[in-house]
Amino acid sequence: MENKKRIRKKSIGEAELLDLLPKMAIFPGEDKATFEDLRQALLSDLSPATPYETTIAEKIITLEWESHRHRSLRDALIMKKFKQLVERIFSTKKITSEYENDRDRALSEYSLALISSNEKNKAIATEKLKELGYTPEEVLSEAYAQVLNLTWAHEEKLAELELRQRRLYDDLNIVKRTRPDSIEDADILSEP
Amino acid sequence: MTTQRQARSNNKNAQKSAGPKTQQGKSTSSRNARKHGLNTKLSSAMVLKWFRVILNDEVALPGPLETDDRLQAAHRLAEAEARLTRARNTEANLLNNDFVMPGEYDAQRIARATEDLLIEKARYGEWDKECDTVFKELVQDIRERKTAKAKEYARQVRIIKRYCAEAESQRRKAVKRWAEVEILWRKGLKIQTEVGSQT
Repeated sequence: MENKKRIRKKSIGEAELLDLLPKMAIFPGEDKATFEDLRQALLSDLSPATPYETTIAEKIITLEWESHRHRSLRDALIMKKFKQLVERIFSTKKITSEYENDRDRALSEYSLALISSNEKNKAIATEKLKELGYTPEEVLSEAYAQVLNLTWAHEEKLAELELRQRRLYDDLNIVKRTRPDSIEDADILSEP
Repeated sequence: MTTQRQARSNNKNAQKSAGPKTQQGKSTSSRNARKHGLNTKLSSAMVLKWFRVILNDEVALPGPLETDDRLQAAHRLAEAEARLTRARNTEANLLNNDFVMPGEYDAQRIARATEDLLIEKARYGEWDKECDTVFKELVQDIRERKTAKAKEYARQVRIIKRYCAEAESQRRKAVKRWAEVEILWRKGLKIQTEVGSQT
């Protein structure tokens, strides 16, 4: 052991990496905790072992969050238009319900119920919509068609983000191949 | 046509006011031709940071690049990463900052002009043809300016996207090269370790 020279190498810490990692802004309506959950899940899945692998993994996480953001924005546009169309249908057609004397309340409650996650209310509102001669799918496809000029920007961005993400996954796999094979009880003592 | 006398005079006058005099003025005018800064030299500090991260060595220095394939590949990858980061930051800044301001400015301008015209109307009675013309001209002016601005913005986005694509392509090539060299280096390290342990 005396003649062997130990590697004088100091590994990179997290502080040194901070400048190089992509900065992720949390937009209004977004949840920092959700981002952190996604980050942790992806980090555990990608399992970066070196600082450089970590920078690639963090870039993938940022792109995933951006994709999530654009998908949410696109969906919000469609849902907003869907709600407007449903409101229009309910306001122009006769509502055969217990709310008949309170048209505004019916309008608001049914249109909200259709986009809510409460399955029971959604089923009731869907029935009412069907009574008026429409299916939610018909209204949704109309909504999609009407906001197409607004959603294309998100669709375009999503395609770009997906491509960049796929390339980063490829790069990460290439970099991972350079990891040293683990040799049990091995002691690396000097660089060649 | 300019006479010789005029040319001499122009030359003489130009000597008197040839460019900015103060250090601040010189510094400002030095950036006149700068469009996006993506062709400028990369920050050596940023390249060094990437270099150390790639090698996972906090004190590594790009030493004999000509003779050491590994350092050369790592340095090339560090440059590619720094270039890509800069291009992506420029793209993000363009999207975040430059496109918000004109809209606010236009809204203020329309509000001011409408207020002026309403005062005029209150003073002289009816909203006459002249008011109408002034307002239409204002809207037309803003529309043209917006179209020009949008075109310029689209042009800049196109240029920056091209730089990003170029930087990304360079990075991908550099990653492949780095991986090849690193794998060979690791093999060399393993052989040396094995030979060392046998002797």
